[in-house]
Amino acid sequence: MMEELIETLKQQIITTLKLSDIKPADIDPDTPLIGGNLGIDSIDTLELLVLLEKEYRVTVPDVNIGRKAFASVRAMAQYITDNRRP
Amino acid sequence: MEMPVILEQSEIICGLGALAETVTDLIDGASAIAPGPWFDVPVAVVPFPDARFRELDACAHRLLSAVDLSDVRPERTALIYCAAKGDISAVEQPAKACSTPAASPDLWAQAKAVEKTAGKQFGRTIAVSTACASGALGVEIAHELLTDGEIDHALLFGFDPLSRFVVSGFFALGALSRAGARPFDAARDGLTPGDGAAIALLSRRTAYAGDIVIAGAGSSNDANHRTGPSRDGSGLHAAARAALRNARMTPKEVGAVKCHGTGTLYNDAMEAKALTLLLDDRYPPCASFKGALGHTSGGGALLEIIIGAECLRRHTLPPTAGFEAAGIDEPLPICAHSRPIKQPAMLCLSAGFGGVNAAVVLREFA
Amino acid sequence: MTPLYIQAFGGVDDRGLHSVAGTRPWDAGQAGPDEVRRDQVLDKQYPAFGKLSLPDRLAFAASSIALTPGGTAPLAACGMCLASEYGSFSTDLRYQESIAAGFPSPAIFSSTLPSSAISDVAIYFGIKGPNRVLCGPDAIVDIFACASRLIAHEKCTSVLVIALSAMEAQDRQSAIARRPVAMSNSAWAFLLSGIGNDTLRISIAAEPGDASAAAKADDVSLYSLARLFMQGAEGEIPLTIPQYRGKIILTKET
Repeated sequence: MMEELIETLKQQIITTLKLSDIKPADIDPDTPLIGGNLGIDSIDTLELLVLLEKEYRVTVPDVNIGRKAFASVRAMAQYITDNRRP
Repeated sequence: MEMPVILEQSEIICGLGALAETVTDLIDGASAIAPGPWFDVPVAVVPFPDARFRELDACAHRLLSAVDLSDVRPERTALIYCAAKGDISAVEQPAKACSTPAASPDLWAQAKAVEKTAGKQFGRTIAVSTACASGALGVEIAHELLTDGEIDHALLFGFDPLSRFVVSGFFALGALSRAGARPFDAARDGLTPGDGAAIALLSRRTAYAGDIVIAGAGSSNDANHRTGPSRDGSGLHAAARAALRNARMTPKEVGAVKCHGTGTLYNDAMEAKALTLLLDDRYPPCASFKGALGHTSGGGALLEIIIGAECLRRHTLPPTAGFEAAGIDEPLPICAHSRPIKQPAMLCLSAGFGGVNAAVVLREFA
Repeated sequence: MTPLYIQAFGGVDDRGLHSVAGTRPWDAGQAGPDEVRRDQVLDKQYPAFGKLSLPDRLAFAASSIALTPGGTAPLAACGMCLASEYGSFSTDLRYQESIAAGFPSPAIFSSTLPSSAISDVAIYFGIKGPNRVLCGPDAIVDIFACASRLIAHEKCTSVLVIALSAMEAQDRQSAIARRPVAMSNSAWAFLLSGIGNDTLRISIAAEPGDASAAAKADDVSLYSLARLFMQGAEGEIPLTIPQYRGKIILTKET
């Protein structure tokens, strides 16, 4: 389940952030998302917040929680799993 | 004999009203911050007292009626329209726009609409859009054209009203204060959008005592990030230096600084560094108007320059509304009460998304 | 107008990608400048390229072609003057759609400014000098004049002039455009300086013309300018901007 979610998330990140040079296989689920080699900046982080809300109905209440939630794709998947509203 | 560029006439519409009353109220410490929600966004804004002025047509009529163009030769005049977004209503309500032939997000079309309202055909019409620094760059372009003798007058028009488009966008970027902007304050939490419009007539002629001169202008780019300013203030510092160089003045001749001072964590920290690079610790009084009038965007840069000019005339720098305790590393003299301006020169700063920085130097002719 | 000297240029339009090395047509299956790829204008990976809105991407592509070959003077003090024919028209409509969908997009909003088209160019190439951004059909003439004035007033010694005509195909028929829209997009970037070095000198002899003339949707002036420069040839190119009579004049320094 988690692995499936991670793969789906990778594709959604690529589409949402328009990372045109990147394929899902290029994204390591455990390396840092922000400031890593994907060129994800602060505006992209805000777009990821919108993605969480739109696709998973999950909100991030503050910046510190956000930092942990976006630490990696796996962290994102875990945050979604923990906070997803039924 | 030197013939500088002069601010002949001007008028504004903002949260505190027209120019004279706005400056009086600012000096008294007033603020027009209005709690939210606005446009379904849970934040404070600074609205026009009369929301009709969010329509370009109504606003143009009002501001054009406040200036006397009878001595102006239209063919030797440039109309310079300054806006970050200007009138965005056609995008928000396309069905309604069909009944208003001029309504368009195209800023040049908006400039032509202002020209039509003025009932004149100007020698050239220019639409300037450099985000929140638009008005300042409009002044700089006017300064160059007048100095070169290409035109005899410049009619500047700045227009950036509030809209759901803009307020929702800043909210999505996490840039907005909930309760109201507190420039340079330790508890600042973001900017407050404000309605703003302004008109100014510039000319070039022999100056007389009391004239406000556009002494110089300059700009730069941070080349750092789409929306965040460069952290070390070097870009804004470069623009300020360029403006002073253009004015053939030194930093120590500056009697007051009209800051950009949006109330965001990053802008105010950056600006304090920029001013320290420029002035060491020999700061003149500094103030931001955005704690009282909100961030009036690109057109607002013109509005703030006009307010700055009136403050210079009155030799008084208003307090920074919303400021209580300093939240920046440098000892910038921002305060909650008004102070005299002891040297007849003001440095006006603005900065915008995309890293643009612009500075204009005003001088009162003795 | 203080004469300007062309140091480098880049362009993307229907014909292909234009540089000092010539014109490269679009790949088979590439519909034109709207589909320009990062690898066609930049050697290095640049993840932000795909994120750029259409106008920003075209301005970046033309600038990259002009600036990447290197051998130009340092860019830190270079100015940037952008003529944006349609401003952020299409991006505005896309942002409004994101509001209507219930999820306003911060990324799209940050590009709903005509000036966002110079943002990535400035960041990527470290261009920190003065800026000008003008909008409208005749902004291109004014922007060369802006560049000339920047140099004449000693505000910088070189300027990147970018002429951008970009609207998404789906918006061309938009009722709120209010004037005819070009059927294809283009972006041109000219690196200009106030000091010649065996390069061709450009000056624009323009006068305000018939202001009532309807906006002309098709402008070949800049392609002609680039071609003359590539040929090292002198020449005159009539301005096809609605509000102006005049010409762009290219002469060799003697």
